[in-house]
Amino acid sequence: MRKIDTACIIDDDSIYVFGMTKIMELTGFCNKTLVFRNGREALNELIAIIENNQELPDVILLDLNMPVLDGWQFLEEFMKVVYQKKIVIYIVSSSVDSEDVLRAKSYENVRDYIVKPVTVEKIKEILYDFENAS
Amino acid sequence: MKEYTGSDVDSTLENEEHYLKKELYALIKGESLIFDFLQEAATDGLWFWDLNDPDNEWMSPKFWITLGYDPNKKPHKSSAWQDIIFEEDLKLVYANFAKHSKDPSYPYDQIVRYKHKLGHTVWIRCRGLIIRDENRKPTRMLGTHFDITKIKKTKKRLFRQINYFQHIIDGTDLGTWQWNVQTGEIIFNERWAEIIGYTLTELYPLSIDTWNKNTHPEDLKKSNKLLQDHFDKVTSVYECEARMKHKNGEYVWILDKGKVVSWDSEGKPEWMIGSHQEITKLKKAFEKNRLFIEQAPTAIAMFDTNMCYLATSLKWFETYNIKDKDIIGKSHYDVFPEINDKWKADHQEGLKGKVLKSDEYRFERLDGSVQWLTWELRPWYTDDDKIGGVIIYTADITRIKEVETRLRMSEEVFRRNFENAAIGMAMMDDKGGFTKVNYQLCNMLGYTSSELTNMSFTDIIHSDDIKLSHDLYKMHFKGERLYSNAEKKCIHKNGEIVYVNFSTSIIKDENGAPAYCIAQILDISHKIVARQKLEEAITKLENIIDDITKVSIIGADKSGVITTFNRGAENLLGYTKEEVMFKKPFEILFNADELKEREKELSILLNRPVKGFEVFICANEKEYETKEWTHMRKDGTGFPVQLTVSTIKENDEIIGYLSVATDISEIKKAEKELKSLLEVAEDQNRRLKNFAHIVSHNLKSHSGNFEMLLDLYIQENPEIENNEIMQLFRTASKNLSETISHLNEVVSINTSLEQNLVPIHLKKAIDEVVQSISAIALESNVSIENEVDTDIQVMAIPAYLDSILLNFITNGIKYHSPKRDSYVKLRASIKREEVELSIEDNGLGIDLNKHGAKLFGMYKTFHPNIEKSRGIGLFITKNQVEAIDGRIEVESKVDFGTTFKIYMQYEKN
Repeated sequence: MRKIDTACIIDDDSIYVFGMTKIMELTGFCNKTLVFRNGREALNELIAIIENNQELPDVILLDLNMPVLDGWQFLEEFMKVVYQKKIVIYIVSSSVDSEDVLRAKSYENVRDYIVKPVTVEKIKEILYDFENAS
Repeated sequence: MKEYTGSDVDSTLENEEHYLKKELYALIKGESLIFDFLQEAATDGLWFWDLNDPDNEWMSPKFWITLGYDPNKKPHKSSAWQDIIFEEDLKLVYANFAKHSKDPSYPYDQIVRYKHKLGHTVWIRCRGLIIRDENRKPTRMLGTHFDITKIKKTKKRLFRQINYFQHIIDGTDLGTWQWNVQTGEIIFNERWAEIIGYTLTELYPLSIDTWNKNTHPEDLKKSNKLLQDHFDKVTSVYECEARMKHKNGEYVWILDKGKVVSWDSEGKPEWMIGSHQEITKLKKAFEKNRLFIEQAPTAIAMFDTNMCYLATSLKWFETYNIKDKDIIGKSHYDVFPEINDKWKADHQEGLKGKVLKSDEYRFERLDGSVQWLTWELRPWYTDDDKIGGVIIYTADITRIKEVETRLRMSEEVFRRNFENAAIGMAMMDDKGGFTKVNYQLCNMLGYTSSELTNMSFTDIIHSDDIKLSHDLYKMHFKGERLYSNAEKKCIHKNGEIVYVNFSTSIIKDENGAPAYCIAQILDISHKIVARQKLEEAITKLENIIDDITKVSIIGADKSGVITTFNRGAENLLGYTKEEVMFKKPFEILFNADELKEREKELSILLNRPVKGFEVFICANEKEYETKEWTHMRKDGTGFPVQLTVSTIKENDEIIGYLSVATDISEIKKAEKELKSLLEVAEDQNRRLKNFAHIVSHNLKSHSGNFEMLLDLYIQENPEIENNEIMQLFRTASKNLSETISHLNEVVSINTSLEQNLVPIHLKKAIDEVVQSISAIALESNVSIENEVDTDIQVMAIPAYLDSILLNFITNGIKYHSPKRDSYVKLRASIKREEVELSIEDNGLGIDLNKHGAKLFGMYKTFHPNIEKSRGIGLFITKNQVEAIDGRIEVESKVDFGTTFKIYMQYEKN
């Protein structure tokens, strides 16, 4: 059984981020949490981590609607980055637009599309999935 | 070999056997070789000689009989014959004896002469064989005699005879020759040498080489071949023409003839005699003929009296396609096995001196092809006026024949065409007189054929047209025009005018000079009448054009200059007719910028520069083009028009254009208004979309956060979960999220209108929905009856249809009447192109008078007592029904029940 060491939240909504970290604490989702305010910040930091040979997050929860670099742009850029670790990406968005859902599924490294609000149950599900994934 | 020892026998005794005879007999018995020798050679005597005692020699009786003596009176002594043999021959005998005794392989064989007892000479072939002892020492000799006197005599007689003929021959100028083929011995007479300018003595020594050396190498080859043929008895007589070199260096022609007169026992030729005849003169004459014939450009052949080829022209080979180039000397009938007896008879006539000819002779070749020939056959004569053979001249006229046949056929075709033509036709001479006319022309003009052929075309053409016709006709015969075509008026015999299309073409003779004229005359009276009517109609139309005042009708010539300007144009544009007609170009009546724009457009389209007036006409692949333009008034203001430019043609030739322009200012104005309205609507739509986005995303994330925070707060502080305010807080938060989610649904309906409809089995879809809500139905004790036919299909979006059905059925359950057994019934029927689905319940019913108008509004509920009512359902349902191109009708009575009727598109299969 694998454990999530680091989870990464990329979202510009501070209330959501606050809520998310709280839920993660409550559920024992991970040991560490990385939070980035937009796609650009996340991309820069993650590349720095790779360059310094530091530990990359196990899970990324990615919002779509963000300033500077949105979720889609982040995905495109991050796909070009070379790294060894297997990172599970979830898209977490308020949008219920079926176009967004379909687009998310077209990315191989996106595990699932989660519609906000994220509940404790949903986080538990993700955790369960991760621990039981081979 | 036997040994002979006894020498004591008395040889003189006649009665007793001579010792040598006895010995010989024994020898013959013992030795087959000796026996053979005797058999072969000893026909006229035998002798056996004792070489140890050379005086003793035994001679057979025949030996002496042959020489005329009595054998009994002659002693068996060698001296007996030595007395009567010719002295010179005895020397030869001794000499040969000496050689033979020394070398057994040297034959003892010679011809010797004896003096016959009667005094004449006997020629004897004497042959002998020495018999030796074991030391190879000669002991005996056996000999034979063969009398050849008779042969010698015959030969001598023959030569005498030859000499006799020789004298005769000498008188005939023939050179003669005699040749022993085997020994090479040759005899020529004086004339033989004289022919080539020599005396015989000059040519000595004579041999076959004398002939070989003086004969032309080519002819010698030929001669040798012919000789061989004769030796092989292929020919009974040898005959060869050959050139021999004269002493003066020139060649003379001789005819060499000969025959073998004696053959040896093995059938080989021995003596041959022959003659030479000089034929140079004849040959030269023939040679001239031959050369002439060979070079002749026509097919000529020269034959001898046996119809064998002497000479042919090259054309001969070509004409008859003869592959074998070496036909000289061959029989005509071998070369052409297909020659029939009739022709052969003709040849014989020719050889008798007749001249024959045929202008058209059908020659069927072996391969089945047919050649048409003309031929002429005439004898040729030698210098001495004898027929030397025939000369045949032929020409292949197959092609001429073909052309002739074709010509005849085409003449036939022309004649039939002429006579049976559907239009009038005439042939005319250089003066224009009719030489031949057909039935149609007679019919057209009312004359008979014989009347017309006495007239000329000037008699039938109307005086209006006569001048021009006459001039044209002259041009024809001057060769200036080959054909002409014009409409003319002709005069019928009864005086009426006949309109015709008069086409003439000139026919030239073989020298290229105009020979006669062919005219085709087509009655076009009906066309002319039609045309006149048309012109009248056009004139009338022009009046009408002028009367139209709201439409500008403007004509232009090919260059774009205005030629027509109606009252409507004057009205609309402010110009007067006089100002523009034949003065102004058409394009000044249009907006200059638009013109430029169109020029550019067309230049690109047609890939060539298009300028000015051309823009109105160059796209005219059809007969007309319609386009919007801005018409410019005289005062510089413009107004929009719908402009149609048509091409005006006369006889298929463009003579000008006619433009019709309609003022479309009003239409344009309305169009503009419509456009601005559409823009407003589009703008509103866009804003609506933005709103939808705000609802869908921003509002939702806020409410989501709200909900999440509340959840977290309660989890962190479980003690406040039962706090009343906190509970209300949660309900409010939940309601907000729900409301937003409903709004989202509504928004998504509006945005998914373009989705395609698919056929769905209605009954099946209902069954599935009923299944999913069976628990609620059971709980509320409402029975749901699906009475829809299995085969009905509707066109819908599956998710919408599910939602629609779910909404109506759950409504039916929700608003059931507790007073009675409740039901929801679903039925469907096909009405025209639609499926009518009715959903009937016997529930609470709706007061349509009160609520009808608001029934399908958002957040409208009509049953305040029922908690679950949210008011959103019917709104969404209505939208979804409309999204699949359907509509809803409702019938309801309070406390009796409600029936919803949903009309959807019917899928025919």
